[in-house]
Amino acid sequence: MRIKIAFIILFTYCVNVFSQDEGISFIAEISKKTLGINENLRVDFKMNQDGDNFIAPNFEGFRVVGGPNQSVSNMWVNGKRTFSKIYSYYLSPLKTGSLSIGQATIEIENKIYKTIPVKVKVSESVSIKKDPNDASYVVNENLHLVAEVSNNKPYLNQGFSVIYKLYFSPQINITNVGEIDSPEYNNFWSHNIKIPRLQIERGSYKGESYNYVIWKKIVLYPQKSGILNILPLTLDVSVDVPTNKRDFFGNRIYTQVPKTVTAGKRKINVLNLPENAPENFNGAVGEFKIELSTTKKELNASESVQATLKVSGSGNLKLFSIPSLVTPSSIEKYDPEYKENVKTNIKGMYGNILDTYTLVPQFKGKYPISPVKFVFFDPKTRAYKSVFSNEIIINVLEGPSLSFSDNSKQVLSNNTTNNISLAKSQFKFIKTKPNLISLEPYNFIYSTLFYLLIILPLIMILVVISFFKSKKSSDLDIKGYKSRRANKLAKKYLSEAKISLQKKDVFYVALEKALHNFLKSKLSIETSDYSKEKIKSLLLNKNIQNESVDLFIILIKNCEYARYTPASNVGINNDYENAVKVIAEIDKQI
Amino acid sequence: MKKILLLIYLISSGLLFSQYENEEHFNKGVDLYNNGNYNEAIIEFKEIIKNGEHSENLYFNLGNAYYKLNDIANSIYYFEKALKLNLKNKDVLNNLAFSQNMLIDKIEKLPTNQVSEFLNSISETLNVNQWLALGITLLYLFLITFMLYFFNSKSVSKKNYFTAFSILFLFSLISIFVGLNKFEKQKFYFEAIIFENKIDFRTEPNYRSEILFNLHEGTKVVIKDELNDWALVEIADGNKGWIELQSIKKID
Repeated sequence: MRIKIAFIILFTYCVNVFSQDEGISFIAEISKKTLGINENLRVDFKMNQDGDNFIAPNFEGFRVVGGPNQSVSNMWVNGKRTFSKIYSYYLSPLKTGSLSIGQATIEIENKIYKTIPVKVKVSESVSIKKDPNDASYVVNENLHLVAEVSNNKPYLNQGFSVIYKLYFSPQINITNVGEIDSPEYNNFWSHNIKIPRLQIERGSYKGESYNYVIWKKIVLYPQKSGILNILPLTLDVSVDVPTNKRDFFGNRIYTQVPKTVTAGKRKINVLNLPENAPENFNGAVGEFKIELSTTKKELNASESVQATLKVSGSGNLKLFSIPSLVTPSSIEKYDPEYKENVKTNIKGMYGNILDTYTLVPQFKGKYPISPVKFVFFDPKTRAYKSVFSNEIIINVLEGPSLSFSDNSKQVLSNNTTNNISLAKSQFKFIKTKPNLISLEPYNFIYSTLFYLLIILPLIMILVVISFFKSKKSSDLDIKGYKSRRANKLAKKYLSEAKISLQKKDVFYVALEKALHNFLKSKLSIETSDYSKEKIKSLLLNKNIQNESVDLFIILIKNCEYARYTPASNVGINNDYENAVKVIAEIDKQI
Repeated sequence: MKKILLLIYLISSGLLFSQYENEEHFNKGVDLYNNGNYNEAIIEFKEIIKNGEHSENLYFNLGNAYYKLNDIANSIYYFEKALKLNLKNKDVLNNLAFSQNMLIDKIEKLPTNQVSEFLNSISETLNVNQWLALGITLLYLFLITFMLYFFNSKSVSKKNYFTAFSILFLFSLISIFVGLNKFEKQKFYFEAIIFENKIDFRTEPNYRSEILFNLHEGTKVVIKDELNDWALVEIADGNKGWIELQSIKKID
């Protein structure tokens, strides 16, 4: 029986051992079943065989503060193996009430195991016991990092500063400080003001007296409007905390506690500049003045002069450009040389920036350099302000003057182009004689007199032409006109001869007389005593055609002959016709 | 009768008085200018214009006084006015060049073709009234030669008269035409000087429209069109734009 019992025990033991070996367990363990909402909870998922594909439950109602941490222990005790693998999570409840932690799954030897859901009761927050002797608690209470922002609502481009101060109470000592996270200033122009040596100063923090160190000073100029973030500064501080223990000599023993402090995650609301920005505003914010100066005011043409445009004051000096210098076009202007003498302190940038232009005047005369307008925004008065530089007149004493040629039009329409005449002309003195005339000019054009003067000759011509036409209309053909003219001449000179056509003697006497009379009236020469040769040469001298002259001479000859020789009536008639013809011809030619 | 005589006497003496007064203003202005009191000299000179008289010398003096005061726009304005009365006044052109030295804008003139340049230079030798007077004189000479031609019976002299009268007639027509053409052109040709320190040229006569470019005071422009308070102006390089009328002053 005893043996039997012992056997059974042994057997069960063996079975137990076996089942322990073979029995796979996967359980969830929690550190506490009830907790305050401000407390943390640890959950361990424990297994006694190594598994794969661990899937943590979805911790609803909790925030995972830490984990998963994995720990594996493998022990051999007296040939017995104990294995355990734990996944642990640190959870912080998000709400009060009964919360459950769901099932986790794991795959062990191709089988899937699940834990049983666990219920946790979350109560209202409980006060954590303060242990004034706990070193980390002491550190928490006595070490503070503070970021002081000088202006939470700066304007765009208005500078402000952030000062990081590390406060620590006199109880503790700081042995080492290191920066873990340097803040980044996106959308800011930043300038770090170097602190040559950290100095401990006394101040107060929340009404208690503290020591502090200024760790970092930064000047920032926002480059974007809207809400901008400044990322925090994180410091790793080694702190010596006094303990209650004393050493052999009775001095307190300090324990060193590392501590991470963070400060300065800030939102900066950057205000946009007012809408009504004047023209020429180029983003300058602060308080400035502008000055213009030249190295000389009198020079000769093609010599150079330096003009300096200086903006001085305080504000975002490095972040805008100086307005450009406006000079007359006949002065040669080169690109400016930029220089800055800007210092930065905690209040921002101050100093001056300057553009130096090289100017070379081309012609003699005066060159006014007009005042330069500079517009900036003054955050103190919250208004735009314009300042002007002084005006400078450069006097060029010697040199060519801008051309003026006799062709007035060219200069007039050419308005300052490159006609350079080397003539040394001076600016002329004013006139001393008034020579005044009435301001109202006499408008001759389109006046009645104007029309009258133009129309009158035309009317006269019309009258004359119409008179001529009516005269002409009686006989239009040219033959008739010619014969009428011949008849007229014949009537004038040959009327006597025509009467005595029948009487030969009388006719020729009359004809000869008529021919001489004709010459007398045309040439105003008494020719009756001249010889025929003389008459001939006389007529030829008057550029009369030979034929007409010959005919004339023949006629005179005939007259002489007829006195002594008988002649027929046909001859008489013929001579008369010839006389009419020759008179008409000669008359035309004289 | 006595009354009329008295009236004539009064009017003529009044005229004489104002003339005398203007000369007085002029001489005073010259003295003030010489003593460096340019502002007061300008007041004296302007008094003459107020009294209804002017001259190229007066405008020349005003231009000079403004030049001395570094007033570019006014100086150029009065020199241009002097040139309106006499295009070829060398002293005015000389001093205008000095004023133009101070201009901020440099405008390259459009190239013109030689034919129109030549025609322009002919048209500019005389003013409108001179052209018309020349034309009318030629017209009467034409009338005389025509009559001579008409009533002359000698065929040789008739031929000469014919050529003479046709040439005279042609020239008379040309000069009257040039005079009229010039007058018509002047009627729609207004030059102006920019008085604003800096002025924007816009695509349309309103403030909404795009800004094309800007110019500074003293630049001469030609007015092409006007609408309400705006003027379409052209500058020497052929660019056009609308500007506010108040910022320019017409040279008339």
